[in-house]
Amino acid sequence: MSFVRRVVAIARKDLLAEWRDRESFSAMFFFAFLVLFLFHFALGGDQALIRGASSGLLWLAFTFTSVLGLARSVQGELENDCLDGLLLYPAEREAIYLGKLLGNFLVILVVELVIFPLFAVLYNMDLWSRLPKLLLIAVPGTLGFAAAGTLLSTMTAGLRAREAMLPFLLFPLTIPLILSAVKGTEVVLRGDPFELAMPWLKLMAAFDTVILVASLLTFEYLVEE
Amino acid sequence: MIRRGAERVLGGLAALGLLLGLYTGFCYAPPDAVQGEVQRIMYLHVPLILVSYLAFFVVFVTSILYLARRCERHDAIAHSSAEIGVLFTALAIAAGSIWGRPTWGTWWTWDARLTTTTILLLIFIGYLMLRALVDDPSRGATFSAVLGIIGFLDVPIIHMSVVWWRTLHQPASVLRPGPSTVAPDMQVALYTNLAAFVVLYGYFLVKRVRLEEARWELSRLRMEGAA
Amino acid sequence: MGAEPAEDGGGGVNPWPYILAAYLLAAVGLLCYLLSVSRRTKAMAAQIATLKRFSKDTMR
Repeated sequence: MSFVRRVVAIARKDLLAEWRDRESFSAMFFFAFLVLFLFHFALGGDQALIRGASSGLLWLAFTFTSVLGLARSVQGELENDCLDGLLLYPAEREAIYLGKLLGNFLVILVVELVIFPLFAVLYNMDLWSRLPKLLLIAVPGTLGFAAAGTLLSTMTAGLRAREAMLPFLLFPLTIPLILSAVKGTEVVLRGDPFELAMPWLKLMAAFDTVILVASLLTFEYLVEE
Repeated sequence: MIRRGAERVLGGLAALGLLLGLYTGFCYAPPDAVQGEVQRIMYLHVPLILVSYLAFFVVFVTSILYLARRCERHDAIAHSSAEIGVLFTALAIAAGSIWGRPTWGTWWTWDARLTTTTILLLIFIGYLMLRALVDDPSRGATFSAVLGIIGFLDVPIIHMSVVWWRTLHQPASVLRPGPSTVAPDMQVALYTNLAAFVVLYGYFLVKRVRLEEARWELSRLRMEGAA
Repeated sequence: MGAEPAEDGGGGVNPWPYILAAYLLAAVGLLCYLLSVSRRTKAMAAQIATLKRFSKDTMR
């Protein structure tokens, strides 16, 4: 089996497991909805304020929901000793990492695709016409977040304070990503020319490259015994 | 590793250096033309920050070495340097904040360097917390090494992003803490203090590594006893 | 450099309490750390000595 096929196989395993009971996905969806709903109260019911802060609020919802999904993804591995089984599988460690990354990335992306229309409805914004450009920002942002998250969740899965540790480690590291995603989304939502979002895209690309390379190089050390 | 005698010499040198630093900072260097006496805090703040960057660089290098060679000493140095780095960074931010109050009228500002430094602090506090939570020492060492490498590599990206965010957001009023002149006697004070804090870092590192190596020995003895 | 003093009565602020606070805070922080490392090292050394003595006794 080629490398790419192994990666896809591992991702498929995760996604199938998720699809079977959809537990993680529903939890993420309802959590995202709750967060979006709470924004209304947190910002004093001021629709204009919310629309003005919409890019930041969207990404707050995305990042918190992602953490939920990342944690649950590795949790499942740990509970059923799947990780040991996975390690017996004749694949390079990098394939395991990329497979899990692909799985996580797709799940988070699907949740984002649901949150966008939800946000548009709750706060009366037109996101539909801007969706392609929004995705142009969201994809690299989500990829970097999933990459860092997959690596870190592998570290925190077995810990006592794991629910707190994953966000505490993940958020400071991914600030450049969150920052760029918010800024890029802001450009799109304000209808400004897309060139203004280019520096932020470049920053996300730089972050994604560094985190992917570093993760690929170090992942094997995390899972070896 | 380093004999006790040499450790004491290092300590003595550090103390001497710090006293010299205090002298140059308060007596030798003149008050700043614009900021007045308050600027003297910079002889504390800047060396603390620069040495903490050094400390985290050491964490980065020893983390890579540990993953490559699995030598306990590298892990001991990484852990120790991270702890000292966190201490120095926290003190630097505090000193900077205290400087900021009479200078800008606020205890805090979201300027690029301060924000980046705080994020750096958060990353390495996370590093120390991870260490504390992982029970198996060699697993903890491995995890921390990976975190140390990624954390350090991230810092330039964080800095770039925060700088862009500030300048594209607030073009005019970016105030930067730091030495405000290049007057030679001020430079003397700055470099003296910098050298003193580097020696202090070295002294702390030696002592802390000794503790860490004792801890490895203790766990080894315990495992032998249990066998 | 453009770092203008704040408008707290422009130059009427006494800088010395701040300077003292900063240096004192740093000194206390550094000293506490030094003491903490020394204390932990002594405790570790005692534990190691006890274990060594214990294993020597049981090996007889």
